[in-house]
Amino acid sequence: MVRRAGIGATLASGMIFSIILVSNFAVYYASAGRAASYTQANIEDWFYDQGVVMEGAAAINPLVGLQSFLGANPLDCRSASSNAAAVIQSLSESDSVGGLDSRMVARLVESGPRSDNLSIVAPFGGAPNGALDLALTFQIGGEGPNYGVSYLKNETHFVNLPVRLAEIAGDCLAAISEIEASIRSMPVTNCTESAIAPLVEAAEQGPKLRASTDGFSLGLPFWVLGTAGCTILFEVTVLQQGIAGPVGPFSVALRDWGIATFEQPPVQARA
Amino acid sequence: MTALFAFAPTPQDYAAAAQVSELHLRDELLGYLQRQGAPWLLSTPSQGVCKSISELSNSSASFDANINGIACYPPPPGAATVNLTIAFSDRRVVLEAWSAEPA
Repeated sequence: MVRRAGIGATLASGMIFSIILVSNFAVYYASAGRAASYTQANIEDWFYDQGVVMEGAAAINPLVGLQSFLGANPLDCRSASSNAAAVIQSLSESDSVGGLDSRMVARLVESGPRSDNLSIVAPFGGAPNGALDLALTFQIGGEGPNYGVSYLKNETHFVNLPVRLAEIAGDCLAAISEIEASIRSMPVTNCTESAIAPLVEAAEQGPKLRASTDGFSLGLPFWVLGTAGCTILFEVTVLQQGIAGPVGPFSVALRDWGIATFEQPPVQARA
Repeated sequence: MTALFAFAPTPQDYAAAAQVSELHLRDELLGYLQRQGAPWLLSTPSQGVCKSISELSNSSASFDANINGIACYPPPPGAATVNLTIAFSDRRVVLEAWSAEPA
């Protein structure tokens, strides 16, 4: 009887020990699997977060480049938009951070309005009406090969610089036409700079007022080219000031030239 | 008895807990960046960025910004840091965070 009980106890303890052993393995493998899942989730999370950050930087960089270009020197009124478009295309870029690669292609687009959800670039996100609007196409991808994580996103976002380039150019070209027309209808008797200055000033009143109404300032230096026909060369500069850029406020100036001849040839002064 | 063994934390459990902490810290960094905005991070002087990010630090986590290779408040040796890198044309900012609790 005692012997039988001893065998039973031995069998029971063996079974319990086996159960504990199996449980330990189960717990060990479950725990290892959980750790792998967390690592996988961690890599995915890093890809997502770092991808958002890379988009933010890649969206700001072309705006900085554009601000630098527009703020550096006056552009011609007639070619400002095409020059800006060419510069924007050259601001496309690639980057790589910790195995995550990004490629961004920038292009100028017709003015909006279009909204955008890239909040990290506020207040330059979206494509409002009248601003210089850029479409940025992103491809961001990476792989975490040991954990089977692969990440790829293709997105297009709109960003803007609040530069009213088309309006500035429009005011500039309109001013040149108006000033040329005004001067052609103004008779002069004395083709000296001091004598025609009031006439040029009168001719620029309308364009100056319109530029001011649009929030710009307009300058108009002129030079007398020849007294025989009383022809002047004038330069119209239209300036948008105090533009909030990603690296601080800046100004954009567009300028172009006009040549106009007064209606009457100047009366030659007698010696 | 089995339950006692099952609840004993393994090294993997510690690793998993550390990774949860990393997720949390990185979310904090991304949230900070989205609140401040990339233009702010680009145009603010280094001292301003350092002061701003130091305000995130608390008893359980520390935060740092490394701007063009210069850290505001470098992590202690051996600290397990999480980071997000934002590379502007002429400024590279690495936002870092680490937990005060041992990993």
